[in-house]
Amino acid sequence: MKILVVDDETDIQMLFEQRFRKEIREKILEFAFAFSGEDALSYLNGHEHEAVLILSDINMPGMSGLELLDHIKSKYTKPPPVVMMITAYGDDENFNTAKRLGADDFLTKPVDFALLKEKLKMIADV
Amino acid sequence: MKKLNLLYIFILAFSANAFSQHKTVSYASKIDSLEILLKNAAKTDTAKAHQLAYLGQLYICNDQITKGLILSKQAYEMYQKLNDPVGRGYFLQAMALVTRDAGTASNDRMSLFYIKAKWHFDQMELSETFPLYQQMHYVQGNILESRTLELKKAIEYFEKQGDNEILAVLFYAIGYNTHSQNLVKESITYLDRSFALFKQLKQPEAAFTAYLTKILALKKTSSTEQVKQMEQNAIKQIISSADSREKSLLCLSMFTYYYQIGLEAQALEYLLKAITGFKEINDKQTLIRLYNIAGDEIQIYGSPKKGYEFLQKELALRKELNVNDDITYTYITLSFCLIKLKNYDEALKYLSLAEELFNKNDNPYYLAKCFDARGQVLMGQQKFPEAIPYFSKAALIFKDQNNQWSESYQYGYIAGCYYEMGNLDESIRYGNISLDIGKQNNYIPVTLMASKVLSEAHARQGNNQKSYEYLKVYSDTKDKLLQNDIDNRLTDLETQSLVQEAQREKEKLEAQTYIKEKENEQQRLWLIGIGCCLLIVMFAAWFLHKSNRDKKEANKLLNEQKTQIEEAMVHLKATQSQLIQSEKMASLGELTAGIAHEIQNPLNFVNNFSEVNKELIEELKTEKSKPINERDEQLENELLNDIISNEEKINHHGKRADAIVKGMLQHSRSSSGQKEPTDINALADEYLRLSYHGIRAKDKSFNATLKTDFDESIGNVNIIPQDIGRVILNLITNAFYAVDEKKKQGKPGYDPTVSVSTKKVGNKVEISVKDNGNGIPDAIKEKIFQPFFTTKPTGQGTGLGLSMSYDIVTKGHTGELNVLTQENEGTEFIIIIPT
Repeated sequence: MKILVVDDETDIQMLFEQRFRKEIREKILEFAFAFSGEDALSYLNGHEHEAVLILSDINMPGMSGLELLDHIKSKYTKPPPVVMMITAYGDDENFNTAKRLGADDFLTKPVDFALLKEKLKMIADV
Repeated sequence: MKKLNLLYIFILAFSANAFSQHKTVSYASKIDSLEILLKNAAKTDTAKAHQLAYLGQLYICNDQITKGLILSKQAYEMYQKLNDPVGRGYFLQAMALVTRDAGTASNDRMSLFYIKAKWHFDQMELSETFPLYQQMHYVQGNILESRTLELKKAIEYFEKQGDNEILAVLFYAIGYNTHSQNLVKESITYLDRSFALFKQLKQPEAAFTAYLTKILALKKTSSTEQVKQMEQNAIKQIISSADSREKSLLCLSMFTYYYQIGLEAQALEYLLKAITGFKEINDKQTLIRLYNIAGDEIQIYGSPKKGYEFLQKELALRKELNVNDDITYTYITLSFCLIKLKNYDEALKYLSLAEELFNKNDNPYYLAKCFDARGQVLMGQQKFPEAIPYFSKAALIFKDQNNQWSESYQYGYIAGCYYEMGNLDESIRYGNISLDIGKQNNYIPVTLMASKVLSEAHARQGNNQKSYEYLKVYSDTKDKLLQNDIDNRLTDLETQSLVQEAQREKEKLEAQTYIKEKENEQQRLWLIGIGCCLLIVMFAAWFLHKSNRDKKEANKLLNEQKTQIEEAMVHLKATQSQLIQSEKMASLGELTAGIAHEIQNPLNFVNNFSEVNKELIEELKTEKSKPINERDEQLENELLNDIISNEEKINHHGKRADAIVKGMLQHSRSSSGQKEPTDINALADEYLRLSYHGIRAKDKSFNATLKTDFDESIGNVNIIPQDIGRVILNLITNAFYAVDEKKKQGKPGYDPTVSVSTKKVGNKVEISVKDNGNGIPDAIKEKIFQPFFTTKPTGQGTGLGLSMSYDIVTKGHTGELNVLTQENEGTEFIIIIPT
């Protein structure tokens, strides 16, 4: 399963690579990283239908996670990638907007990787 | 102060007139031609006497007083031989010319001898023939001395002649002249002699005027007790005067007296009494002058409505008698009444009437008055920028004429206009000019007007110390006004008791007379006369009582206002410190959300990297527990390296969280005022992020491109970090607000962008915060640094952000906070701090 991680914090790449070192080694999961909404879109354009899961940070300078979500859900329809939103504070308004735009799931910071692994497993099993 | 005002008005008004005619009429050339005429052709005695009388008056006008009086006396004697009463009229005219500067009235047509001459012609049913009187010129300071010498020569001549009537007039004239020269002793001696002679000649009204002039002179040196006693004597004489003509003249002199010493309430009272008297004797020409002065005085010191009514009465009489001289001034005064009544259309009508009547080159005083009035009309109509040029032109002319009273008023008005336009620097500049003149000359209304506008302007500039100072000037001046009023009231009360006393004495006298001559028919007429007098006295008492009551009320009101202003000031200071605190709290609130987000990110890394390390160490342990031949040394090394780099990450993000918390604490703490070497780039970057996330927390839809361009060469700069941080935060928050506003207008292709950059220029560091919002309109550009000014909707901004920032940069760091802005293009704030 290919996963695109979008966040404005560059250290996120190292964290994911460490956290999923086993899965990467075993080639169960494959990660790509983008550090802004714009980067993410250009990646998706170059690798159509490859990314299955997009983990996106709602709060980013420039294009926000919500805008990115809107873009993805309206543009990449067949098959639509699963989008999980990561946010620093789980407030209702963000949650509802993301839901309305078609977000599939939510995570809050600090990211609970055990929970994330479980969720990814469920998606892979489906 | 009051005295000066009215004197200015008239002296300038008439001197302007006199000057223009002075150029065309040369007394000397007229004298020459008349002398020739006299030598050659004196057909009849009447014609000769007439020519002599005219020539005499010409000499007096030409300041050859002795010669003029000799001729006038000759003419008078000729007329007496001819048994022609017109001779007395011309003689009185000559007396009027001798005393023409002697302060018998502020208006030339109200001078005692002028009115006496006029009455004489009235009695003969001759219309007034007095051509020279209009051409009078006024004695200037520098010719006072030569005038005294000339009068002394005349006195020497007529003492030899033993002509008491002429001597009495000369003594009076020189008495007044020396009084103007501040030769008090000399003045009093002459006035005493004049007084004695007039009494002897049975001219009580002239004696009275000499007496009042003596009080004026005495006021300069003598004790108030003596002066008070003399004032009371004068009032007693008015009360006991039985002849209505005499009494009218006495009231008129009393008006002039009070007016010259600046008690305008008392002055007005006697002016009104004089008006009643002149109405009674049906002297309409004089009434025109009296209504004019009353209208002008009342509109300045009392009610513009009442002033307007008097001036309308004046106009009605002018129409009836077809008298139009000096009507220009009446029109101008009417327009000032109407301006005060806010009836600008009518005011403009009268102004146009006035402007048609005078020659702009010859009458700069009228011209300035018209400019003044037009300025006030525009000001009243809120057209401030249009009003200023009129006031400036008026000020220039008044300055030229050395009329500081009116000049300082213009500057006050200009300051008011600039204040309304928001140009506070100019407002303060003009306010100060006005206040300087006002204070120097003790012009109370000007001082009040200027200090008020200065206080308000400084308050709006956020300079509360200065604002308070001027407020103090304002309230002190009000106090002075109050004291003046109290003085006036005391005089009032004294006068009142005097009137009552005199009334009782009179009643006693009347009762005795009544018993003695009960059956005498003449006695009944006498009683009617007394009745009339009583009515007048009662009217006077009623008027005094009423004006006293009004004044008490006004005082009460003034006191209340003063307390209110003081309370407001105390309240204002308390509110201000509260507001500064709440501005800090408001910006802290903006920060909290940003901080919450910012702190989650490093915590995320700290937690997760430490958990990863735990796993890695477990993995390493497992690897190490394997038999030696199965162990993968490369993997072990990889694991160890990863652990080290993860530890570094944990350390880095831990420090990051620490810095954020420290920054928050610093922000909420009041400034320690301690400067310390600070990395401005890091500070700016930190606050940019905090601010961005703060605004995003509040408004999810908000978005903007952030650009940074930091000059790494600036190094550490000595600043108070929490203060400058607050400034940067403020500017960035404003920039976000500006781009968001523009975005909301929904212009296609608009990319909201906020840039923060630093730059080293010489020994200064520039921090720039730039947005591509709508820019700041010119109209409010001046105001943005004023405390409490905000464009945000009510309740959303304290309006203190920029003013606090300005203080922090300019006062706390001796730097500059500049703003460059272009409408629809954007705004750039630049903080310049010396290193």
